[in-house]
Amino acid sequence: MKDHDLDILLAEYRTKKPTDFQMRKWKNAIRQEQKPGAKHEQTSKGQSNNQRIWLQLVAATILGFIVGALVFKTTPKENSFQQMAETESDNATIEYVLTKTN
Amino acid sequence: MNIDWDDIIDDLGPRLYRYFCVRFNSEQADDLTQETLIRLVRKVNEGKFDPNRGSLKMLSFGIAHYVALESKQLDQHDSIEDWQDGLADQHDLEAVTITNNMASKLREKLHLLSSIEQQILSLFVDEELTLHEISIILQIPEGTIKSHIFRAKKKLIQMVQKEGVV
Repeated sequence: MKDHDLDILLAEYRTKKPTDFQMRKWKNAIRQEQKPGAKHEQTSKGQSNNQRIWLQLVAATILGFIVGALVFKTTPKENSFQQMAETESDNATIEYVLTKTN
Repeated sequence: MNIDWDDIIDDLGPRLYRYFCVRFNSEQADDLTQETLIRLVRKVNEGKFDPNRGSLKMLSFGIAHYVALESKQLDQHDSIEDWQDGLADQHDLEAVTITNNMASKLREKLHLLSSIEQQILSLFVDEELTLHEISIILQIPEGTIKSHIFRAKKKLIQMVQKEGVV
């Protein structure tokens, strides 16, 4: 489609040329791509992203277990209250201990 | 399929580079051209190129079109709707640009056009691509492409006139 106005508008772009260096760079890139076993950049990026996500998931799970264990371990059990009460008095109850400690 | 890729790059490389230069700076155009060529090689090596469906040239520009879409970050500072001044229906773009030497300013305004208008104008940089081939690459009917070109030119003329050139 010949359009005089478009020719004017795009004239400057039509004169743009890549340098010899750029041409050599592209050809080298294509040669690398042609080599057997050439890694596809996009594919390898995708794979490393998946690996990262799984690692994050595992790390978060482990961290969750650790935090959970710490939280539950520090939460005093009823038995510990009872044991603590009994050191003070043989007949002491949990309610007695709680009252005393609060 | 035996392809001499050096010859292909000698032919398509500069053409793809010019195509990207319309909407990107030189450095980006360089990278995008390389990306397009690499994807072209992959497609051919994977057996996804069917000569019966189109030429290698069309496939390369089709890939370039999608590479540009992926890369383009629309950064609209102005809206074309801001250019509201009235304009006579018939204006000769050549008269406007030659008389007022505003060709370079016109090109600065390209980014203010809609995305599809920029895409169409970019493909017209390549003088060997026919309207039919462009319509296949963009998956747009030829009549629609002509309408977009008409509107794009009108907008560009409005922009230039708005700046008080004519």
